[in-house]
Amino acid sequence: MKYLYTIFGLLVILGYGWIDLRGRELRQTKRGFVPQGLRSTQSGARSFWYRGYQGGK
Amino acid sequence: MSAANCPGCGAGIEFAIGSSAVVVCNYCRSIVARTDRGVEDLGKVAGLIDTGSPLKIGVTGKHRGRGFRLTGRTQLQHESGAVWDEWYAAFDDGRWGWLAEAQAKYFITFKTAEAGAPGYEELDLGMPVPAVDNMVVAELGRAVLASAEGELPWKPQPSTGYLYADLSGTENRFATIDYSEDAPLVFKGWQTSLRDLGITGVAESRSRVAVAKLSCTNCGGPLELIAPDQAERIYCPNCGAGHDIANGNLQFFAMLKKKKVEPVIAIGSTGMIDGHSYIVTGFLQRSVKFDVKYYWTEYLLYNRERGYRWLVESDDHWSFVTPVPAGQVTDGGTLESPAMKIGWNGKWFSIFQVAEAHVEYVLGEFYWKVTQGERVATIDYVKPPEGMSTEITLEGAREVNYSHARYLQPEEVEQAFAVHLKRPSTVGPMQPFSGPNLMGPWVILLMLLLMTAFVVKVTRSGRLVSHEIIDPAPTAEQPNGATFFGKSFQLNGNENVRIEASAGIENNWVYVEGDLLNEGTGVMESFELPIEYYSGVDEGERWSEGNQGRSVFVSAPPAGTYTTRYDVTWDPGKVPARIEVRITQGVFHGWHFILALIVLSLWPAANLLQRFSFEAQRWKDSDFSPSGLDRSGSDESDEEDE
Repeated sequence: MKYLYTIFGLLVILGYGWIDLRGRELRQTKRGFVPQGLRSTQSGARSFWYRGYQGGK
Repeated sequence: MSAANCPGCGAGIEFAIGSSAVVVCNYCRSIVARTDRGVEDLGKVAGLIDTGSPLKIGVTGKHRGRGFRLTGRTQLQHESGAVWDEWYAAFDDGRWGWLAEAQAKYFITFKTAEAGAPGYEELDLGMPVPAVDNMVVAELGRAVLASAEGELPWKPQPSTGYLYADLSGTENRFATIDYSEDAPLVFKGWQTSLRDLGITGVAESRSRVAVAKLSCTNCGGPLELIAPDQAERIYCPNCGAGHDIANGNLQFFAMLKKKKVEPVIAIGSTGMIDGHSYIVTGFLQRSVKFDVKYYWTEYLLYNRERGYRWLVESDDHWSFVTPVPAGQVTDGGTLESPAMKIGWNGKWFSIFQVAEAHVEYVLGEFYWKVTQGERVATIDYVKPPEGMSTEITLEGAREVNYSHARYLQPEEVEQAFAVHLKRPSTVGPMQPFSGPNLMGPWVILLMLLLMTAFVVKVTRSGRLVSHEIIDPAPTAEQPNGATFFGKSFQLNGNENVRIEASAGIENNWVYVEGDLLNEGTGVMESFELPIEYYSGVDEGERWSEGNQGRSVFVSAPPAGTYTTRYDVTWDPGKVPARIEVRITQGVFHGWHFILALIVLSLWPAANLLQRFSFEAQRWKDSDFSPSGLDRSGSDESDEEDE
């Protein structure tokens, strides 16, 4: 049991170290995407934000 | 050497040792003393009792490099009726040694010139005696000279009794204070063995009479004496008739008064414990009475080289019990005021129970004259998986006996004696907690976690990448909301991002919805930062709820150029507050550490709870708490400290 717990504890520490050293967060923010066409125009991204993405043409 | 004739019968007697005081006539058993005028008859002693001793006059040995020869012995009768031998050893250097033999134990002592030994009435059991090297009193009793033979260094008076105190010390030291004369005589020495005394041949001859077959005087059933040289009393397993063993014969003295109790390990069974073979010679059922009677059973074990041991069963819990000399135990208590802890072999044992134990039922043979109803005071101490027990006689000679117990798993007893045993359903006083102790690994893992957190902390940059001030103002088109855009900034890879918003609001709220956009890939992370803060005074007490700031973490965005957008909404009836937004990259996230610590501690915490529950069950039947507090209300440990 001691060995099992020690292994479990080491995995927890490794997990903690990996998450924090890689800058990962446990709670993810909502992810979206702004198309290249909008981004390449002057203030494209802004216009996307103002009007919302309409889904193509 | 000088020869004479016995004044009693005229037979020839011989003083072979120059310093001997008396010779016992082999024919008429007169004690003949030599005087200036010749010889004097001091009276007759009874015939020798067959104690099964392997020793005899003429046996030679060595003690601490000095040779000796046994020249005579006296037989002394204990208050219980048991008889023990004291052999007299004439050493090559002219000294005399006393070799006492009782219960398969040997004690060699030498008369000392020490003065100042306390009077008999001044002594109490367990009391250290400074005048005798601080040895502790183990027994106080009265002995009567029953018989004698050979040459003796003193002048015994037939049938006279005298008081004595046996003392026990560390490293097997032993002493007797003899009150047969006006001034107490002190004899000091050691507990020893025939092997240590270089007496080996007699042990072989003793083993040839290991088993003696006799018949019960009541039912005629066979009675086998397993240790005939040690047995004092035997109870017939068929009819319960009790017999004293004297001169190899059985003398009926009483019938058992209670219904039969069946031992689960048969008398005569042999089992191996700690690599030594033991034979079960006797069985006892004992009890203590609190609210009701509690019973337990004890099996007397015998090994010719190691002597007697006990196998004790209580509520299906088993322990192996070994006698311990009183002098080896650190015990500052008395029966009236027992010590809260006693020490032995570098360990301290906590008091568990004080009780008066009664013998309820008895079967088989015993090295003392055990009777039904026999009472002793017991004080039990525990240090799982071990325990110590103090037994103080309440009848006859006053004697304190210590013993050490080691918890045995039922499987160990089953394996040793080839029996099938019930499993315990309760927690025993000495039962070890079967779960693991995770405290050690937990502490090590905690250190590792702290080290990892330290490495994380020092390697995070904590770099401020954006600092924006949003100053919203209501317009006709947007009376309670507006959208704002931040400046572009650079983010590194593999580092988290913290977005903090704060507003100097009071009894107000502001709601920020934001996006963090990677200008290169078009991937955006959306977040929400609701800020609200209310405070006031209610019935004279100040209160507040909410916060004037809020933050959110974004999981390591890829390296690149980023920009932000904020949709801010505010209470339409109020003036919106100015909002400060700070974006920092590479932030040490304390909650991750706390979460890891919680996950790491859950298992040991559950283990600890289990252990507490186990200990609570162990101590629920005790009069004391693990810390030594008397549950009746008084704190005995305070008294001990005083």
